[in-house]
Amino acid sequence: MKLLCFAHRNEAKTFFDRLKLSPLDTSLNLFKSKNEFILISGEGIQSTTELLSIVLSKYENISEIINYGIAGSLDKSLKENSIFSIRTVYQYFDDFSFKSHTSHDKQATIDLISVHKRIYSPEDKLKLSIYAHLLDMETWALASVAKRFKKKWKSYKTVSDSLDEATKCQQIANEAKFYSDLFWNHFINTKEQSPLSESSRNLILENSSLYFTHTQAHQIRKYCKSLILRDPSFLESFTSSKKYKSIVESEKSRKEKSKEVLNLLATDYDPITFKELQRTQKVFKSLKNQYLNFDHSEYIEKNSIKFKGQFKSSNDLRNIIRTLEKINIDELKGKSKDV
Amino acid sequence: MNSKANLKMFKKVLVEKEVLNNPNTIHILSKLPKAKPIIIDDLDQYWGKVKKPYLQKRDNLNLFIGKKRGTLVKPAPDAYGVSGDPHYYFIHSYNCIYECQYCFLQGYFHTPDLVLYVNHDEILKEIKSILVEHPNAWFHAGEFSDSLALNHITNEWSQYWDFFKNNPKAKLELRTKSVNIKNILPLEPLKNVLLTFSLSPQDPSKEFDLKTPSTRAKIKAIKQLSDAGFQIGIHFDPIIYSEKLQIQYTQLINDLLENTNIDQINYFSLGVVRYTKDVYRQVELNYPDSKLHSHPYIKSFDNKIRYSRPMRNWLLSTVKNILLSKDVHESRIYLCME
Ligand code: SF4
Repeated sequence: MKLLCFAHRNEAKTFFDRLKLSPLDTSLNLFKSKNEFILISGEGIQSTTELLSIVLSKYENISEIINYGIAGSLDKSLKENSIFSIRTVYQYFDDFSFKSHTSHDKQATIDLISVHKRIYSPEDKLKLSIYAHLLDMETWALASVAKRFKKKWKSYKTVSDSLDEATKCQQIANEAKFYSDLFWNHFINTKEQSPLSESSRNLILENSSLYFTHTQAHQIRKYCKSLILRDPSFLESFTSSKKYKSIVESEKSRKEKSKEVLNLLATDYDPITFKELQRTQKVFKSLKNQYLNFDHSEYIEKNSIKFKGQFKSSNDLRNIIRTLEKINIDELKGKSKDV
Repeated sequence: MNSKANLKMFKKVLVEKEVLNNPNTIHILSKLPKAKPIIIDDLDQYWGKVKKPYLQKRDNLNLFIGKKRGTLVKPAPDAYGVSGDPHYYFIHSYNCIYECQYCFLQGYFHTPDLVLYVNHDEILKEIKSILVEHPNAWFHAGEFSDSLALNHITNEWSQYWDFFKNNPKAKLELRTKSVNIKNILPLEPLKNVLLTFSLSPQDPSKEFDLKTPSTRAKIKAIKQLSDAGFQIGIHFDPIIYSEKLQIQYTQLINDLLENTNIDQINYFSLGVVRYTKDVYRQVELNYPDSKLHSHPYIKSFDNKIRYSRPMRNWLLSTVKNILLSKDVHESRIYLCME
C-alpha cells in the first residue's frame, strides 16, 4: 500500500475531499482510504522523522511513500505551479550534511535541499543553490526514514517563491484549494497501474526433460542473465540450437543431460576460462590417487597447487613424491601462464 | 567547442577567493563569458561535502576553480607506465566531462563536480625539486581527470612546455581520450613530452566510452600530432572481452598504423578492464544494463574485480600478437598487469 505524506493538512485538502478517508490514528494524524494511507507529518525534520518512523514500524504493509508539498525555489528558471519530481535530496543543518538520498523516480531531474530553519538571505540561498534547485524543511527526513525502513519513496513539489518565505504558511492557507487540486491531478494522472510482474521465464529451466539442482538453477540464471545482455534473443537461439536439442532429445538421464546443458552454457558464457578449467581438472583427476587429492578450485586464478596427502609408510611417501614429480608445471599453467 | 557549449556544460562556476586574480583563473573565466562565478572562501567547504550521485554529471555539473594544497606531485603506483625510471603524477584537476562506464572516478570521489586547480607555478616548482634527485623522472597528468578534455578552456600545458624543454631528461605524459589538440599543435614538439591516447575499437568505444570522441576522430588527432612531430603513446586499456576482439583490434591497429608515423609511437601499453570493489558496485548501480556485466568477473588475488586469469592472459596475448604481427617491436609493448 502507498503512504501519501503531506506536511500540512491544507496541502492534502482535495485528497480529503475525494478519497473516502477515515481517521486511523488521530495522535499520528494518520488517515486511511481503500488503497492509501495519508499522513500529515507536520512541518520540519523532527516532526516528519518522528511521525513517519512510528507509522512505518506500525504498518508494515506500506511499500512506498509518496510525498507532495510546496517548496521554495533556488532556481529562477523553474516555473511556478508546475510539479517537479525530486531526484536527490540533501540536508543543510548549519553546514551541508554528507548523506544524500535519491528517490525511486528514475526520470526525476530536480534536486532539493532540506533545511532546519527558514532561509531568508540571498547569500544563504546562493550557497544552497550549489547543490539544489528547491528548498524545504521535510523531504530529507522523509527520505532518510524511508531508507531506514527500506521503502521506496518519491517526492513531488511545486514552487511557491513569488511570495516571501515568511508568508508561506499564510499563502498555503489562502490558496490551499489551488495547490491541493494541483497535487490531486498529478496523483490521479500518474497513479501507476500495478505493472504486471515482468516475465522471468527461463526456457531452459522450464524444460521437463531436464532437472537442475538448486545450485545449478542458480548458475543457469546467472549465465543466462549475462548472455542475454550480450544478445537479447540468446535464450531463443540457444534453445533452438542443434547442440541443445541433441542433448535434450538424447536417451541420457535427466541429470546427465542437465549437466551437459550447463556445460554448453558455460562455454558460451566464458569459453576461454571454461576450457582451461576442464583441462586442468582433467590433469588433476589423472594425478589423484589413494594418497593424494588435489583442490583445483583456486588453481586457475592463483596458479598455485593445493593438495592433501596422506601416508603411513615411507613407501606411501615415495608414491606421493613420484606423483608430484609427474606434474609439468609449465604445461599445466597453459593459458593461466602470464604473457 | 564554442563558449556557449562550455557554459551549458556547467550548472554553476565557483571560484576560490584566493585564486580569483590568478592569470589561469582569469583565462578560464574569459572562456566562460556568460558564467556568473560564485566566490567561495574554501573549495573544501563545498566540493565533495555532500554525496552527489555520479550521474548528475549529465545535467547538474558544477565547476570549481581553486588552489591545490598539500603534496602536489606524488609517486605513482609501481605498475605505472614504462618501467625503469621513477614515475610521479600531479593533480591539476579532479573529475571528467566524459562518461566511460568503467571509469574508476565514479567510485572514487563522492561527487562528479569538476575541479580545475590553477596554481601550476607551484606544481612546476615541486616537479623541479623532484628533478634534483631524479633527473630522469616521468610526470603524469590525468590520474584523476582527462588531461586534454578541457584544454580549450584551460590551456595550461603551454606553461609546462618551457619547463620540460629546459629539462630534457624529465618526461611529461598527458593522457587523454579527447581530440582537443588545438592548443597543443602550435607548441614546439618536444622529445620528452608524450601525448598519450587511450584507444578502443570503434564498437566497444561507442558502447562504453560515453560522450568521448569517436575512435576515428582520435586517430585523426593522433595523425595530426604525429605529422607535426609530437611524441605519442597508446594505451589499449581497458581491453574488454568481445567475441569479435581479434577482428576489432586488428582493424584498430591497422587504422592507427596506417595513419601514424610508427617511430613516433613511443609505446603501447595494454591493460584489461579491472575495478576495485567500490567502483564495481557503482558501475552496477549506474549502468545496470551495460554489456560490461555480460562477461564473468572474479574477485582476484588483490581483491580487485577482473576477468579470470586465463581470460586476462588471452586478451593481452591476442592484442600483443596483433601488434607484433604488424612489426611493432616487443620492447615498445608494455603489459599492465596490476
Ligand atoms: S576519459 Fe578517463 S577520466 Fe574521463 S570518464 Fe573516461 S575513463 Fe574516466
